[in-house]
Amino acid sequence: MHTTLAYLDPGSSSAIIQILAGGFAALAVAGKLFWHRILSVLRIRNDDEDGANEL
Amino acid sequence: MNPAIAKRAAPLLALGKRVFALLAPVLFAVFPAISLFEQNKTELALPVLWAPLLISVVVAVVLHLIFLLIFKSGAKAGALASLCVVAFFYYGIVSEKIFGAGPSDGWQIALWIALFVVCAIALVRTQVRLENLTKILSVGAVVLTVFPAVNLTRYKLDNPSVSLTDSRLWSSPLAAPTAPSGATLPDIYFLIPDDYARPDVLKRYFKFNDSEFLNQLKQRGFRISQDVRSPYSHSEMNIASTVNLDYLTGLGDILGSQSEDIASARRLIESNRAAPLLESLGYQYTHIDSDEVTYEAGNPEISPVATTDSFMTIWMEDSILGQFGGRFGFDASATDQRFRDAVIFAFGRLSDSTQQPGPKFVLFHTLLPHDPFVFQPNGQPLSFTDVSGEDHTKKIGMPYYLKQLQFLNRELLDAVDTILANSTTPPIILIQADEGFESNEEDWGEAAVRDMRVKGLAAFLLPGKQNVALPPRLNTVNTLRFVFNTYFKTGYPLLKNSSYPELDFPYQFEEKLHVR
Repeated sequence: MHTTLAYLDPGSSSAIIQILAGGFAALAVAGKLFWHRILSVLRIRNDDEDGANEL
Repeated sequence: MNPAIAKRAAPLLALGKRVFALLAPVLFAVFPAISLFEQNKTELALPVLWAPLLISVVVAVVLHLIFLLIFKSGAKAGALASLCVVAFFYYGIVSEKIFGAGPSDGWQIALWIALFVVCAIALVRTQVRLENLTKILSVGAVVLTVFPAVNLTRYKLDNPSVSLTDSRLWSSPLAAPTAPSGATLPDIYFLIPDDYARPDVLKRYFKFNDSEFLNQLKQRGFRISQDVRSPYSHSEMNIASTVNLDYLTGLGDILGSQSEDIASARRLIESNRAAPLLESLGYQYTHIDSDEVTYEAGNPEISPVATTDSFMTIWMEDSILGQFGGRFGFDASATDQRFRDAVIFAFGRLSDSTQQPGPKFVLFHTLLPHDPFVFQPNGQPLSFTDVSGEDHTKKIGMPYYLKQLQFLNRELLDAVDTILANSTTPPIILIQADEGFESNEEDWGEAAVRDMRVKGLAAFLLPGKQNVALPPRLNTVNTLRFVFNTYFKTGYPLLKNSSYPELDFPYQFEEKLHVR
């Protein structure tokens, strides 16, 4: 038998999932913006002068 | 670009950048409220969301403007405002799932604040331009917010509010009552103590004898229905059926058997059929609740944070304020105290209502003795920590339920005495629980849970009608039909006695309940 509590559902589990989704999206954008710097750090590319003063 | 155009566009571009930098903090701020509402969209009316949304937006904008004034950089202001908003609103969400049962609460807060300080210092001191950070935060914030916002919008569009004039709602119209000729109309007080178990249930499952309270009621002229039961397992549905004098079969037909829309039941309570029928006789209708159960979009007489289960309270409990007590805190001690205050206030309103000129119909609901369990029998504060979230339905919670029930008994007797003392014409007083105790299958098994759930207290003071027998096997849906027939010659047929066990969805009505 399904038991429904009278209280509202705090819903933190779904909120965490949504936060993770937002986090992945942010990481994806960050990856795209700093792709060249990442490659430079990994020593795949040498020129990394662009965006040195930008986060 | 043409240099002249570029020159003219520069201020607009700068403004656009600043506005764009505001996007992330605003969306981060509104996300907790939208997400929480989306999780509970079947229980809540949309207006409940507006105040938290407005507060969230104002907080984010003000923070952004302050940082913009200080640092003269939209990107930095947006990043800092986002950080502050997350630090304030997200603590509860993050601490439960990430820290879990690891470090103690004190360490968790210290760690959270330390993280905030480190990030804030880094943002303040950095000389690096933060435009890319603005883009990253903005995309993250949009993705964060878009899913619950879209789900919520879709749900509300697919599930418009039920029209109160929908002809499918009720099985039959109700004829207008007739005032007895030459007699003064008695005041009618309908007091609904939430989840107050029937005396035989208290004896059988709680090993508790409620006869002291019941005898006090009998001395005041009350009659106790020994075999009353309610039709449903939800407070809102039971109260809606009682004050509309009909089952909610029509509502189920309109919403569909898969619907979980309880908000519509609240709408039917707030705009019920009983009140206009009595108003046609000259009754003044007064609606009092110590909680928000009988209101569609919040109780206008109490603070939106007065009750432990209000939307705003649960929203704020997830913020950093959920770790603190006191006037602005939302930890258990603070929310419990507000709840106590709301109960005392409601009983005070009930007492005040007896001074209003009659005839009057007073509908009064209190969440007691339903949890949260916050009252000792003598009214002193009680603390009950519901560790699992279901402890209040288990055997471990039952002693606390009984303590609160004993306190409620005192309040109800005081209320009855006040009503009787201030009534020039003997009043009708109906004390009827919406339903019985909500128990846990693990402790009791399914049959006992269903048995307890539909058996609530019903005690009636019916002046001048001592010779009129109470209907046998009374269903709470028929209580007002019986009272109206007895006093106002309405001749309403008593509906068939049915109880519908709660299945997976509240509007799945299968008449399988066999109640001993």
